[in-house]
Amino acid sequence: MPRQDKGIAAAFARARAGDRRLAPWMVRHHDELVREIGTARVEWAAPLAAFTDLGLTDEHGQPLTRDTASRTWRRVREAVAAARQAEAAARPAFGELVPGVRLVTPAPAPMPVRAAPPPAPVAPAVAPIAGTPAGAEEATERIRAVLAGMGASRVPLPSQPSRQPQPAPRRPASDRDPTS
Amino acid sequence: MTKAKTATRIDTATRLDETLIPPQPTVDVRPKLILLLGRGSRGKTLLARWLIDRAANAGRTVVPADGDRTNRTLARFFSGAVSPPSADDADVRSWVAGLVEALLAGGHDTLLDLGGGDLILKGLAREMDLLAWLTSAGIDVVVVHLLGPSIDDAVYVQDAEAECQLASPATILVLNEGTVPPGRSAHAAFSETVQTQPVFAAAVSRGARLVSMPRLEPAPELEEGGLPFFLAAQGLAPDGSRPLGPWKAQQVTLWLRRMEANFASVAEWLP
Repeated sequence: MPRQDKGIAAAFARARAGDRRLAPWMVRHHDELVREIGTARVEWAAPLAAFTDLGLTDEHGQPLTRDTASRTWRRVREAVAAARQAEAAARPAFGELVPGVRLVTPAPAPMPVRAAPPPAPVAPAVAPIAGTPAGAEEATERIRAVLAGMGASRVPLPSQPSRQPQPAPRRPASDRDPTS
Repeated sequence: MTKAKTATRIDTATRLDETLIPPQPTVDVRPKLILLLGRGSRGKTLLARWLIDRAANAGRTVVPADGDRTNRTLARFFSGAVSPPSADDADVRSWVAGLVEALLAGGHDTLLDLGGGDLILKGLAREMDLLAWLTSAGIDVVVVHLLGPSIDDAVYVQDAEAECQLASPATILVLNEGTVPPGRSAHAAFSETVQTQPVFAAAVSRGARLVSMPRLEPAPELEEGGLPFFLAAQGLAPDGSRPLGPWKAQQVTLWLRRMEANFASVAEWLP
C-alpha cells in the first residue's frame, strides 16, 4: 500500500473512532450486544447506563432515550441479519461449485468429487479482521484481563502501612447540653 | 484408620462431584472438529486429554484422532483413539481425509491432535478450503492454538490465520502457563508477546477468545502412569497403575477447577 494511502486509512480510522453515534457502534458490536442483552425483550435501564458511560449519542448528538435505543437496536438487528443473509446467499452451499451450480456426483457418496479445478473463492470464508481502533481497544482490554488473571493463585504482597495520621474515632454526641 | 481413609475419599469424591462436573452446554447439535495447533511441547496433548476426559465425564463422546507422528500419547490413553497406518506423509494425508469423511457421515465430535509443527493439516486446510467447506457442511471447526511466550508462537498463529485460511470464528488462543521457564511469572512472560504482537489483538478483535491454561505440576506423573484426570484427582488409578498421593491429587483437583473457570468463556466450543 502506498504511504499516502496508509495516511488516508489512518485518518478515516481516527474519524470513525470519534463517531459516538449509537447505530454505527451497535453495528460494530452487534454480536457482543446479542450476548449481553439477548434477542428477546430488552430491559433497557442497564444498557442505557452503559451507553451513557461510553458517551454514545443519537444521530443528532443528543443524549439517548429508551425509545431511541430500542428503535435503533431493532433497525441494527434487521440490517445485520439482512447483510448476513446476503453474504450467505453469495457463498456456495455444501456441494456447490458456485451458487446455483451443483457438482454431479457419480455415486451417492458423502464426499463430492471435484471434476474440474475449483474456482476462486466467491466470498471470504471468515469474518474480516476488525481493524477499527474501537475493536482493537476492546481486544486489548480482553487480553489484559486474561493476563491479569494469570497471577490469581499467587500470594499477594502485604499492603504498605499508611504513614498518614489517622483521624481520631468519632464519639457519639453527648445528650447533655454543655451550656447547662 | 481404614475407616478414616474411606471417609476422606468419599468427602473428596463428593466435593469433586459438586465442583468439577462441567456445565452442560447450551443446545447445539452441530458436530465439532477440534483442531489443536501449535509448536512442539506446547501442551496440545495435555489439553486434548483434558477435553476428552471432561466430555466423557459429562457423558459425551469425542473421537480422539491421534496424528502425532513422533509421540502417540493420545492413542496410549484412549483405547478408542484412531491413528494413521504409518508416519508417511501420504498415509497421514489420506487418514485425515478419511477422518473428515467419517465426521461428515457420522457427525461425532472429533478432536484431531497432530504433532507439534506438523505441516500436513495446514497444507490440507489451504488445498481443501477446509474451514469454509466444513462450515457449510454443518460442521463447527474449532481451532485451538496452544501457545508459549515466544515470538515464534505468534508467528505460528499468524501463519494459520492468514496463510492457511484457518481463521475460524471459533478460535481459542490458549496461553499455556506450563511453557513458561521456572523463575519467571506467566504474566510477565506472556505480556511481552501477547501485548506486543499485533496478531493477538487482531484475532481477538475478530472474535477469537484468549484463555490461560494453568501449569499442572504432576503432569509428568499423570502421563507416565496413564492416569485420567478425573480419576487422578480422586486418588484413584486404573488397574496396573499407581495412584497419585494426596498432595498431587489435590494439585490435580485445583488444576481441574481452574481449567473449568478459565475455559468457561469458550464452553460452547468445547466437545
